[in-house]
Amino acid sequence: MVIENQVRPLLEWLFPQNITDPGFLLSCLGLVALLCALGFLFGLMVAALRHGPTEGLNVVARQIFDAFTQDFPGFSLRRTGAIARLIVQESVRRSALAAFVVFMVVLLFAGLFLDTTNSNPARWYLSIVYFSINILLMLMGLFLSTFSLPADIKNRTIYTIVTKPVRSIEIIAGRIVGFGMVGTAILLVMALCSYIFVWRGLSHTHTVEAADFSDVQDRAAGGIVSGRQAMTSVNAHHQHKVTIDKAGKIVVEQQMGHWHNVTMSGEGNDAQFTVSSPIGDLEARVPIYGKMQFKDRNGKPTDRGINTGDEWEYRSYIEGGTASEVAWTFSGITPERFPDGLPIELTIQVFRTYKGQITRGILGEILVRNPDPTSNRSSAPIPFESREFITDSRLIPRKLKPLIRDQSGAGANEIDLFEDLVSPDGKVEIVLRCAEPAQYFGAAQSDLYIRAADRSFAANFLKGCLGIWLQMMIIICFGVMFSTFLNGPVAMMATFSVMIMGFFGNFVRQVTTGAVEGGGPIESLIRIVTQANVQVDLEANAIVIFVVKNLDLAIMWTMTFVTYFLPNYNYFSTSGYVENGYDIPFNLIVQHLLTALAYIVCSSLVGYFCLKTREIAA
Amino acid sequence: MNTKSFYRKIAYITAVAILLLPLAYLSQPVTGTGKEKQKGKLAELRQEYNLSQAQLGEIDPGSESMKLALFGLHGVAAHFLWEKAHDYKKTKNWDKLEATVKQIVRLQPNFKSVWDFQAHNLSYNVSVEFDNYEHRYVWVKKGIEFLIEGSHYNRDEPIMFWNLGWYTGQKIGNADEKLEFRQLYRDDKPFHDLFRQNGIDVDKAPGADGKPDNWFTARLWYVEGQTAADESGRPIRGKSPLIFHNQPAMSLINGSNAMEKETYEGEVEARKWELAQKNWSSAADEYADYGNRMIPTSWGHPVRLGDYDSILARIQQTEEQLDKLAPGAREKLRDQKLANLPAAERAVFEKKPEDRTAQEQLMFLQFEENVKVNPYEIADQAPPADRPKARQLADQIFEDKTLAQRTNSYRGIINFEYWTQRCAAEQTDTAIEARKHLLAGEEAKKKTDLSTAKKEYEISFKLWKEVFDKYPLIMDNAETQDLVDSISRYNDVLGQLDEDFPTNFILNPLLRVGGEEGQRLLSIQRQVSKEEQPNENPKEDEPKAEEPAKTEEPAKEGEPKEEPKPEADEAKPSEEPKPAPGDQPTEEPQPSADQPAEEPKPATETVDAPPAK
Repeated sequence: MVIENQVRPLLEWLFPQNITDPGFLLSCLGLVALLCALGFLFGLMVAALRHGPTEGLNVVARQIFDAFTQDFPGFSLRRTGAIARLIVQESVRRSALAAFVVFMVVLLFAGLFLDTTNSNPARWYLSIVYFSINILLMLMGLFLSTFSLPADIKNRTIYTIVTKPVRSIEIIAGRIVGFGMVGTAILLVMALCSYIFVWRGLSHTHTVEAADFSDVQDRAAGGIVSGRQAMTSVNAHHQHKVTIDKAGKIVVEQQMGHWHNVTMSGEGNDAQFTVSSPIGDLEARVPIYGKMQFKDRNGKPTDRGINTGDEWEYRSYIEGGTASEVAWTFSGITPERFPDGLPIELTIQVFRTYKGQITRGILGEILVRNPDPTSNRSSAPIPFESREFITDSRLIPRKLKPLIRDQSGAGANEIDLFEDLVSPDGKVEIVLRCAEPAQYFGAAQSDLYIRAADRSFAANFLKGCLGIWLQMMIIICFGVMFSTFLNGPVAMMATFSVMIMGFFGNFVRQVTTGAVEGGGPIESLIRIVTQANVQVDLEANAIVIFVVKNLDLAIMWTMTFVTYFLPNYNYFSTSGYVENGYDIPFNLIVQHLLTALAYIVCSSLVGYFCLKTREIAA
Repeated sequence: MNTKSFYRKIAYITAVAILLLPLAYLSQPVTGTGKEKQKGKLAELRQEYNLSQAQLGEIDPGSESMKLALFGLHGVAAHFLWEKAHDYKKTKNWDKLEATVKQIVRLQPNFKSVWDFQAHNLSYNVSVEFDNYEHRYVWVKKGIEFLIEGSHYNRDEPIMFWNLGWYTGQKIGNADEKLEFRQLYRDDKPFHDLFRQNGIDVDKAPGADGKPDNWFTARLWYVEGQTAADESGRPIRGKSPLIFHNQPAMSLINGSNAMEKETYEGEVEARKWELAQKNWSSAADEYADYGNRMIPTSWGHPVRLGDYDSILARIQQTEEQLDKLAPGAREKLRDQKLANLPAAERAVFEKKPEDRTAQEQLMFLQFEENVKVNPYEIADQAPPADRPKARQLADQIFEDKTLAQRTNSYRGIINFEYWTQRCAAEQTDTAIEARKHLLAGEEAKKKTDLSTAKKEYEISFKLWKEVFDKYPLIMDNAETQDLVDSISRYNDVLGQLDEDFPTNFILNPLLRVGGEEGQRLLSIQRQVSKEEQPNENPKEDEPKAEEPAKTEEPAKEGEPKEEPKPEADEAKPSEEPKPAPGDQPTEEPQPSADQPAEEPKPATETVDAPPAK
């Protein structure tokens, strides 16, 4: 799986590390302080316009004083719950379940537009269901949260509430909780339906007959028969190659992101084969990532490997047949955790500078090394053949052959993984080398990891839904906040804008800095109308260009400034982990929860002050 | 206030109704049948230009639902998805790329360039990203499957079938891993079934082992494309008809060629030669049919490539008739022109061709234009009574020469003459035997059975000599580079047997045109010759240092001189894939415009211009 930014440890993420990395808490406090200051100034400005500067200041100060002395301490869960219950009833009355109905229609007719022949259907199915749930829930949250309060105010039904001893903060919180409950219920049902849909969609088996097997000749070994091979029946748009080696071991080729266990009973032409359900497509692997270090062709440490001309710089490459290597240092390695050895998974890229042997992969080697500088012990190279775009699972056994240059004398023919290669502080280094001169291996931080355990896929699927739930809750909070001072359609547009800016914040910043060509909104409009592509100079009068560019710059910088305050919805998406079969780390979930909480609290507070200062009865 | 609002609403509704009236009239659906049939203007235009969905191809409910759900914004969505697809390709997220590409075509199923572009992307650009050749083959297949799906949505679209032929033939049969790809294709039963389901009877395209061969299957796709072009009347978009119709024959040629170079086991090996010979013969027939096909040109009139010789004969006949009307005029005019030439140039003309140096030969070709006699000049020399008739004949000669030159120009583009001769040569028993022995020599060399290798090579070269003597044109082509390489390996065998390369090697003419390797072998030969006869002059075979490897024959009288170099891939047969229109797997294939490709044109026209009247 491609992880461009590794998940940081929770404490490291929370607290300041250095001057450029102030940590979440400090950044959050800074932004909240800035927001408070801006809110205070804005409130003061409005109040001053209404009541004059002195009275205005008095009004604002009183509001803040009341909030902290009366409303917040007097916050009642019972009253909030009652409002939430009303909101649930109102939402059901206002066809909130429409989102669920649309979702069911999407699932029922998925066969019409789903690519069932995809090379990894599990990933694709999961991607589709997450996307559908995400979009529908966000839209539901958007419409419910933005129209509710303005409609109550317009219909004057709000009087029945404000005339009772209910505080503004309870009205806001009640609405958020109420909409949240509706959304959560729908999300849970959608998740259940999706899980069944994916599981059923991927469930299949194959048949293979004894008569289908034919001898496999190993050309490299002079044409001797190395085993028997057959293809399974074609089911779910694919078939697998089944190989039985001389020792009777059955190997099933991976296809469409999964394989099957094949068991044989009987012998010769009477043999019967049983093919299991798919394996490897719906899983939740728990990886342990190591710290990566490259070495150049002279064996000197370097930050990155060689760039072989790939536009995407995620991976960099090591040169074969030289001292170039890439090593991952893993921590917390104990015999108790890995009694059978280290189960590693490897996904590497290959870059050939010449064709070489076309019918096989590039040869490489893996070494296990003790990172303790006083030890200098290493295993002998474990040779392997590269397999690109496939997760290559290997077990590094406990007993290994030592490197020839190992002169320690202890266990001359065999060394123990934990006794000899793991340092006293539980660290071990796994080294990857390319064995063929002028050929290259490409690797990135997350391309080699230790598969520590497997967790429940269903639980992981639910964890993926948590990311969607957080996004929905943020939308609801912003919707409620805007609805406290804007009418329904305008609040909806404002919340929608926040949503769009949240999704495309990075794009906005790239346009501002010029990383994305084409200019700001005015320049883009001119280019669309005049059909000028983004790379040609704008054809217009110099003054017009000057004005357009500067206006765009002002707009874009304003938008960029705003994006730093708005939630980045992509950040909360964890569906990639589920799609690729990795367990969502607990660290990440906590980080997401804290970030979402910050937005929820901030937007609720803004909503509270706006509602409190609004003259509803006017 | 309320009354005003009411009136305003009434006005809006009335305006909407008025605007709807013409729209309703224009959009009237087709009702009734035969003469009773009534339809609105839009329905009429849709029918006239074959634009209704049912006429274009299959109707996909999923595609239609997606388009409807997007409220007309499917173009924007397709653009967004296109960007996503590009991003997925950049980040090597292949399964999402594949799925996104399929979503794009669901949004715009009748935008043919999307099918072309993305099929190319999958078969060429994505496949090469995989290190495992079996995975590469899977992605080549995905591109082909994608195009097959496209042909459902765009029924009878000739270029889609042509591309299917091209991918099945060239991408599988001309890749670096062609041996492996061709084997995978032969054993790929589900893929064969897919072809069968789409009207391609792969059982009619057997290779040596009786399993479907990719080149012969490609031919079936090309023929399907030809049928679509001939019967549906749809234009051939983005490809010259010259290249479009050339491929069925080329597939047979490429298939036979590939088969001859591969080795099989047991009886299949024996059957292979028989089948190859039969296919060379079929290729000759197919090429003859191609020569008889009317090919549209950029000059606005079609040409038949096979008519070239008959046009030349007609020119000669007409010239003879003209000469009869003005006896001796041609010679007289030519003598006059020669006399007017400067002395140095005249001296070149007066020399016998065999006495001219290479430089003089070039000068001769250059100045020949100056002394060429224009048929109109001859017509003007005819007696006044015969002059109208003579001018008519001159017109006829002019037109035929123009046609001959244009036909020849088109023939040159696809190397028509070469392939005709090649098909004729390769189906002979001599050529088949020559190839058999050559392959036996190569196999023996691999097994280090040097004496057998030498013997087999020598038999083969002797047979090749016979073939080249009969069909000299096929010698001067990149395809014979393989044979030069075999001669090089023969030289290695001789070296290992401690023997010298023969100074009087029978295929020396081939070595002279055999590129760098040929020249290297010739220099070895010279070295050996010097060592053997240090005091004698170099052998007659050796080219003189100052002379070019090959001198051109002077153009025949009346024959257009221009010999445009071949441009198409199939004009340059070779082991390795050559750059050709659409063949080069580019990083970013550009969608071709839905217009016929610009016709290739000869560089200049040298036909005698009629005098101003």
